[in-house]
Amino acid sequence: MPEDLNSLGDARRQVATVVGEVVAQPGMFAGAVTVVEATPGIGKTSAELSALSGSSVRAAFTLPTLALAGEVIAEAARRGLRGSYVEGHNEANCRRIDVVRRLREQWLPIASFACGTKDSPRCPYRTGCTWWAQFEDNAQVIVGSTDQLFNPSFLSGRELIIVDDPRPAAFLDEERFSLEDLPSPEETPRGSLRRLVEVVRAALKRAEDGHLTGAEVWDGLWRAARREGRDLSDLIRGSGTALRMKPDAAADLDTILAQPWQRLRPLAQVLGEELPAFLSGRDFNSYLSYNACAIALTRPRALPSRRGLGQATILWLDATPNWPLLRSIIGTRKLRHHVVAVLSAPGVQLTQDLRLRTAKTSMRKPENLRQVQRALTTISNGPGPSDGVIVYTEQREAMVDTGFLTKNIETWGRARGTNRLEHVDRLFVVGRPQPPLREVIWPLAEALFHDDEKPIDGDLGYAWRRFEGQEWEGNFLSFEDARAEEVLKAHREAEVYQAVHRARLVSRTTPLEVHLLEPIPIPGLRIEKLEFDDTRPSENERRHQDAFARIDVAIAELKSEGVRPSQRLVCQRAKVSAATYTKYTKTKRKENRGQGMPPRDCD
Amino acid sequence: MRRELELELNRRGLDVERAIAFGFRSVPRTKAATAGIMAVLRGLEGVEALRQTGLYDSSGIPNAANTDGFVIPARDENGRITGILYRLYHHEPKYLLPRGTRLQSVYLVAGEPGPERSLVLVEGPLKAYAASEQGGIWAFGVNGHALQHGHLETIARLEPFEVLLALDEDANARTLKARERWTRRLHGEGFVVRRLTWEGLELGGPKGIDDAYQCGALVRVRRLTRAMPELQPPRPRRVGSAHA
Repeated sequence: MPEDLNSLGDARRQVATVVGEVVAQPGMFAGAVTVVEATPGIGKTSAELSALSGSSVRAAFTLPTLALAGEVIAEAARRGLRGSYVEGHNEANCRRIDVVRRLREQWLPIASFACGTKDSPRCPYRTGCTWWAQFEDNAQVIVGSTDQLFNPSFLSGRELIIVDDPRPAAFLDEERFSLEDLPSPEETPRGSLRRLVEVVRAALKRAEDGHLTGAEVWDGLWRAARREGRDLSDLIRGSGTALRMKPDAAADLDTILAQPWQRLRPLAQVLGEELPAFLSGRDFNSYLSYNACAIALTRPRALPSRRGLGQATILWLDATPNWPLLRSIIGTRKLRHHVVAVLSAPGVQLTQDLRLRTAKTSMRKPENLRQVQRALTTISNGPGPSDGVIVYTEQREAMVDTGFLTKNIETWGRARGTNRLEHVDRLFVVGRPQPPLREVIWPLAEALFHDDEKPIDGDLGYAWRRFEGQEWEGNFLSFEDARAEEVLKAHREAEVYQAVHRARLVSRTTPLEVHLLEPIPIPGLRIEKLEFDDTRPSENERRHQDAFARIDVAIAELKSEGVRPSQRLVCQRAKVSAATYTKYTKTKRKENRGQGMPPRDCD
Repeated sequence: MRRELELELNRRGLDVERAIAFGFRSVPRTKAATAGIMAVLRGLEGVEALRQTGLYDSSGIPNAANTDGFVIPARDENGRITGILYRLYHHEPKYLLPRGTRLQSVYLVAGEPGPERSLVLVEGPLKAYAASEQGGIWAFGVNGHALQHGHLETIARLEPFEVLLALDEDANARTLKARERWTRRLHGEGFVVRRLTWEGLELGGPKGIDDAYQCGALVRVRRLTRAMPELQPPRPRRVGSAHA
């Protein structure tokens, strides 16, 4: 979220220059990743399509969703560009989708195992296959969702790869093995692999005390193996030999699919890869985490590097680059980074309201939800057709009840990249994405910084952060480890920033009001009006006030009973500690000092 | 040194010559032996100072008379003696301290700081000495769980890059509490704190770090993650007001 601000015209020219440069001569930037970090709404996609329409470069173009890919194809056609649209395997384009799904579960490549080639097909429908026909179309621009970046067929033969507002989840391999998902002993071949699965099961069953992350996962597995009388390193080495070898693509497909334990291959790979680090005795970052329900594996995916794709020219346009993820993807490629930021258009006003309880769990309480609904109705004077809202999926219906049009309601997780709210004159942003910090963000940070020598610390603390454009700062729960905090911001603050810009703040010609009903300061969003209740006591203050009131009552009662209110008696009756009582007496002394009254009546 | 001490050192896998050089010594087992030593001591200068340390009680008899054991000098990083511990073979408590000992001035530093400057904090000077000898670590032993302010000052003076807690691996509630307390105090002083772990008593393994090294257990460094802080409602303040 950049800070140096330009006029919209200047920003558009800057983006057009950078994009034009890469599109004109992609060979000059082979093996490099050009990242253009530009405020949403500048017109990045238009700049790309304009540059492509004036050249003959064959490009692969990815967007966060298929819906947006469809919009880009339509826009490309209007500009005279011949583009084709690529979808993943589905019922409409693949006649053996069930086989594809089962192979995917086993982490086996679809093309070599299910399809084969035209000359030596493994699928009876390979000739005339609709899915493969998508790549045979000789269009100048091939468009797909972010997931297609990992499909060599999509990228093959393309001089330029354009990544527009990528969907971060597409860059991660995530696999979760619950107790039910793990193959049963009967389904697993005898030997080390079967015993390894038993050890994993035993470890999960003992993980009742929470979520284990990093090297502690290994301690849990190691101890489970010890309890079973096994040596984990022997089991991993023994089962790895079988699992790390992919089945022969020429083998009978039914035989391969009848081996459910094949899906353990990524787990065995990771165990084999991390075993030396564990045996070294040092602390390390792990791709694994587990709790009583499941063992999870999270790894960044590597871009295809075969068939010359490692030297492909990549143009990456993103308003909020997820740098930890991006760095892991870029790897050894050269990085060129351009920042283009724009001031919001005149007439755009941002208000942030800290008074409402809009956390996901708070909103589940009817009284909090009603309060939010009341606030939305009061501010908007009853939502109209030009009012939009971004909210948690669970509260979608409640927003319809509040009076918002269904088309004007977006939900967290689906708001990125959409243009459906660009027409609204008033946008309400309720809450924020709330990825679980210890269970999701910490393991993700471990995966993204896996090879760092210093392990990620999961400690959390309160840190003060300023509201941009205000002389106020707020105290918010943050990771003490800067790397984990960077990952958290990429998944929370960046998403809110993207969501607010769905109303196209920089290119508006009409006034716009944005109401942020959530308390976290968002970098890059300049707040004109900050609303909060300065007089509301904090939780600690409220507890103190309660305790002081109980002490007052206890002293009065003791006096009325004719008993001298000693510290011991007051503490017993008011159920307060001696420390709280001392604070009470000090406070009373301070209060009475001005009045010349010795506060001796209670000790 | 008597045969019992030699056996004890052998049992712990320690080199006898090095232990003697460090200052391990048997204590008199009988009153007669004590009297003999006292007779020799009386002829030496400084015996009064020795008496004042409380190594002997007022009648010149060790606190646990007729109980066999040995003494261990707790030495600082320069080899200076910071205190004396009396280890008993068949007696509870196992350790006695000289009368008048101030716990915060008793500690043992053993081994050399490697390039990583990881200081291993151990419960017990003997354990620290043994762990350092067997694991080649830089160890700091305090008496039992008594990590005191003076120890924290000494640790700060040693300038470790990180402090590794190596309390006994057993399901003992006192040890767990001590680990929490030590972590809190060390964090409070700004140290990077981690812990050492191994398969301990619960899994039929060694309890102490010295035994873990002796039997070749896989000793591992792990993070110490604090509990989630209590959630607070947002309470904005003016920028810079904390410094006003």
